[in-house]
This record gives sequence, C-alpha cells and structure tokens, in this order.
Amino acid sequence: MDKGPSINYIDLRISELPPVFLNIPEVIDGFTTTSIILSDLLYEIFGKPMERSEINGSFTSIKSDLNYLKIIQIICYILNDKWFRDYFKSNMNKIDALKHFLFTDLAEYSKINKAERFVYDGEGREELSRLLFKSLTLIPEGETEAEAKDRLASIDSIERKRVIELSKQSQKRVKELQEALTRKEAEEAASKMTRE
Amino acid sequence: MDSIPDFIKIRTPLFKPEWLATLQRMRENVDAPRWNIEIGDRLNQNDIEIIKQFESKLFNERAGFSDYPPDSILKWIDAKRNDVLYFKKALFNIDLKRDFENIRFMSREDLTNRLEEIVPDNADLSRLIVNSTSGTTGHSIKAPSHPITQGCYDPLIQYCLKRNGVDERYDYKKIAAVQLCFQNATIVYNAVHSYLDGAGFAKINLNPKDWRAPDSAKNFIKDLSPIFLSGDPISFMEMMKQGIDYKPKAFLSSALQLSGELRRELETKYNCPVIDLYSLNETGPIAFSLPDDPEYFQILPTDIYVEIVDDAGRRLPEGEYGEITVTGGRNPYFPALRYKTGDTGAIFYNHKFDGKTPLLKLLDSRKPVIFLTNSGNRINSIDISRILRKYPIYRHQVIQNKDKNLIMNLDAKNISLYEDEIIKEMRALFNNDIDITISDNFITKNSKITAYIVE
Repeated sequence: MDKGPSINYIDLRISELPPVFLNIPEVIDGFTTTSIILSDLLYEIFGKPMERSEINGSFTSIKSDLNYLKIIQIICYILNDKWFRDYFKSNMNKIDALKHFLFTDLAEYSKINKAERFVYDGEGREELSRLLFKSLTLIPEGETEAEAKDRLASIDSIERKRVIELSKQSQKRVKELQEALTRKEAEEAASKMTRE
Repeated sequence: MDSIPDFIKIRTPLFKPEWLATLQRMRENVDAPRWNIEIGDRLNQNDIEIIKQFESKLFNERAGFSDYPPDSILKWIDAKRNDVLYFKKALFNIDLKRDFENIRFMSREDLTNRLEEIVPDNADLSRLIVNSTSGTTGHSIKAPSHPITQGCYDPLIQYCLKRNGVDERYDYKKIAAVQLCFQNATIVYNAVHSYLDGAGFAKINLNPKDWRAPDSAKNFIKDLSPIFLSGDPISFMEMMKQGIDYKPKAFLSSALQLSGELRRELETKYNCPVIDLYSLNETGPIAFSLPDDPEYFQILPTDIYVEIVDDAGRRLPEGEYGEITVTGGRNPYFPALRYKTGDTGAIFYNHKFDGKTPLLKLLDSRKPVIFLTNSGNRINSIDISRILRKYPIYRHQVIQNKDKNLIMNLDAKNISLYEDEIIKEMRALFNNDIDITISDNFITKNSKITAYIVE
C-alpha cells in the first residue's frame, strides 16, 4: 500500500471548496456539467476522457441523481490537486479503482449521505477522504494500515447503518430463540449412541 | 401386533410394528435397569434421506484438506453469509478465497451469550433439541441440536467401526449398542434407531443403585448381546470392576481421554478393538483413533475443516500444538465458524494411513478425573458438572485437596444467592463427609484453567 497525504491535508482542501461545486449541475449539449468536469479531469490525469457508455450508465437524470452528482463534483475538486495529479502520473493503473469508487461506491454512499455533509461536517469530510484513500489503497500519512482501517470502520456510514439494522434483527431473534430454548429444554432430546 | 402406542410413535415417527419386540426385549427384560425417560430418534423419512446422502459422502468423498479450507467449506460459509447474523458480522470485508485466517474466532462465550446471532434467521425452531454439555472443560453450555444432527451419529459411528474391522448389518433383530455410564444420576433409556432398521439401543448407568440385583447389569448386557459398547473410560473401568464379561465386537470410548493402559487392558480382556472418539456436543464427532496407531485420530466427518491456532489466534503449521478449531458441520442451529473447542492438539496433513483426511494428535484434553469421598467411594466429575450446570455459572474449577476437602472456584454473577444450595448438593454427592469452600481464586496453567483437579 502506498502512503498518501495526511487526512488533515484533504480536510483543509475540502474546507476550501468553492461553493460552485455544490451547485445544481446544468445540461449542456445533452451532457451534465458534472460529467463534463469529470471527463475533463480524467482526460488530464489519464489521457482518456470518459466513455459515453460510462456517462449514460452512471447518471440518468439530474433530478434523480442530484445528490450523487454533487458528491462527484466534490471528488473532482479534491482530485484536482497537485498531490493527486503527481500520484496518478506514476500510478496510471489506478484508473479502474478510481472509476469503481466513482461509479459504484459513491452511488451507494450518496443514498444515505447528503453531499453537504461531506463538506460542512468534520466527520463527513474525514469519511469521504478515507473512502477515497481506501479505494486507491492509500494509507494516510502518519497512520499504519491497521489504524486507517479501524478509523474508517468507526466512521463509515454504510457500516453504521448495517450494524443498526443487524442489531434490530438480533433483538427480535433473541426473543424467539429464548422462548424456543426454554420450551425445548423441558422436552426430551433425541437418541444417540455416544456421549460427549 | 400392528398398533403402535402413541408415546412411541411421537418419539420415533418411523417406528414399525415389528420393532415392538426389540423394544420389549430391552424394557421388559427381567434384569432391566430402572428406566427413567422415554427417548426416540425423532427422524422422519426426509431426515433419513438426508442422512443417507451424508453417509454416502462420508464413505465415498474423503478428499481431505490441507492448510486452507477446501472449496466445499468455503461454499458452505458463503451460503450462510446472508442468513446467519454472526456470519454477516464476522465476514464483513472478508474475501473467503484469501482472508479465511482473518475471520474472528467463535467461542463458547458466543454460544452462551449470542446464540441468537448464530442460529440462522430462517431456521425452523420447531425441531430444536437442547443438549446441555457436561462442562468437563469448565463451562456448561446449552448446545442446540436437530434430529438429523443426532441421526448422523449412526453413519459416523459405523464408519469408525468399519475402519476397525467391524462391518455389521443392522436390523430390528439386533441390539446395536449399549451405552455404559457410571454416575450418581443420569438418564437411562431404551430406543430403536430407524436409520439402522429398528436396531435397539440402551443407555444404562452401572451405579448399583440403578439395578434390582448385583448381577443385573451383567445379565442384562449379556442378554441383549449388543454389537458394540459405548461409554467413557470411567464406565469401562467400572465394567471391569463389576466383572461384566460380555465380549462386544468393539468398544467406542468418548467424552473423556482414554489412556493407553486402559485401552490395552480392554483389548486384552475383551479381545476386540477399542476406538476412542473425539466428539463435542456442539460439533458432533470430530475424529477417531486409528486402529494402527491409536495415538493418532483421523478427522472423521467430511463436512468440517479443522485448524490449530495459538493463543494469539495465528494458524500453526503441521505438527505444532495449539487449540483445535472447527468450521462447518451438520447442525442447522449451530454453523461453526472457526469455533474454538478449548482442546489442545496438533494436525498432520500428510500421513501413511488410509483415507486422505488429516490426523490429529490430542494433548491433555478430556482427561478423566475421579474424585473420592472420605470413605473412598468414587465420584465421576460429570456428576459435579450435572450439579453445576443448574446454576448460572460461567466457569468452574473444582479442586480436591489431599485431605479430600473441596475448593470450588466459581465464576458467576451473584454467586452468594446460590452458594448454600450448591454446597448442600455437593456435600450430598460426597456422602456429607467432606468440607467445601467456595472461592474465585482460579488456578491457571499455561494460561488455561483446568476444570477438575485431584491433588
């Protein structure tokens, strides 16, 4: 795993995000401004713009994807930074990982997080930074791999939602099972020819 | 006689009229013990088909494994990701093809405190069976089980017997086995097993107070002529002491470690193979001693994966001793995922013996411990476990000093509420002639707590 900049470095960059990046995207010649910004960025970094199929497959309409599009815009702003540009110059193979993050992971996170949370909330900024690092297999400066993993697990919003749902299911099951155990313990077991 | 009484039909749904004679041969025998419970196999036809499939794999698909789980086990784990809460949590961010060793361990504590996370979400609880474990390792736990899980013991036992040269056909005209116990109190019953075409089985207690006359146990066993005798080493010692001379085709010893000395004595006196079965209530049989070298146990079922880990949870290489850890099995209520057994052993993947499954060498596990009353009567540690498991005790350690008095180290919430009752029951077990002190000053050896110590 490669070393990345510190989390504070990214945090500072996000806190300086020009408000325009949270604006509602427009449609120009059939393309959203988000996909134009992203395509330009990918072209500059990897020498290849986004393919039409990727654009069509990722964003259906501004109305339905507004929050997701705003988050993509934030990421475009973060990546348009000297550190990342230098990094990608010698790590061109990271394009697939980055695209997976943009088109799969962020689509999921956008369902439970407002884009503004990733800018105006300290923990939201840290979560977005760490998710980006994880997708590129980068470890924040000053941390070990285990520390980075632990910290992300503790603030990961999808993980948190998952734990809450599991806990709800668990409480219901506890009741059912305790009743069954009490009832069945009073009954006889089944015959077997050895003992433990 | 073609009408089957309801109390039998409920417990043995596939019972056939011609099996009644088998039951009567046991229950109405002039030398029969005092039966104290009715038990059947609870199997239906669909269960029998599932057990047959299990048997076929057990005998014909013994592929074995090495230091990473085979695809069959990985598929089994993966299939449970979505309906076992424990698996959902433990497998988060785990790529099974690569990260098996990063999966956290399942422990007895999980079974005690988080059973609802281990029992699959969609499991039909109507067929749940609850077995309390004997607690020979210091914890008594309630292990959930299923009639199919229990039913699979029959083919597993048959596999061990066949590997030891005992290849028998079973039907309702035969008594498959008599299980011997030697305890102050235990369940005593007779049954027929549908999977063995109605062959009989009796569980008896050699404690003289269970029998009408001094020779009853001896005569009863002789009259039934079971194919094999099962039990623990303490019951086999008692069998010899009582002069029971029936010669079975094999002995199947389980629950406690069988010493080489007792094995040789049984082999010589009864002229038959003696098989040691390493089996846990939670997982069922794990391994059996090899006829050619009983120091080695061969992994018995083909649906489990066994690994050895050190105190830090690292997988140990072949031949190094550590904790035996099991994944897989056939208990629908207890899918074991790196379940730490509490027993110590080493694994050997490459060996010269038949069958490709690996071998285990067990170390200091399941040692039988016999306590004595002041007047010299022997007390099986299982009787102590039987008393302790009635109380909410998390861990126990019972030490008998040279002066015969007992120190009971108990780890439990609000022990003061039960202390008097425990002492009363324990004193009664020891003929009211010893002193008992309750403490929580556990003695540890190599960071392990031994449940029973006789100094």
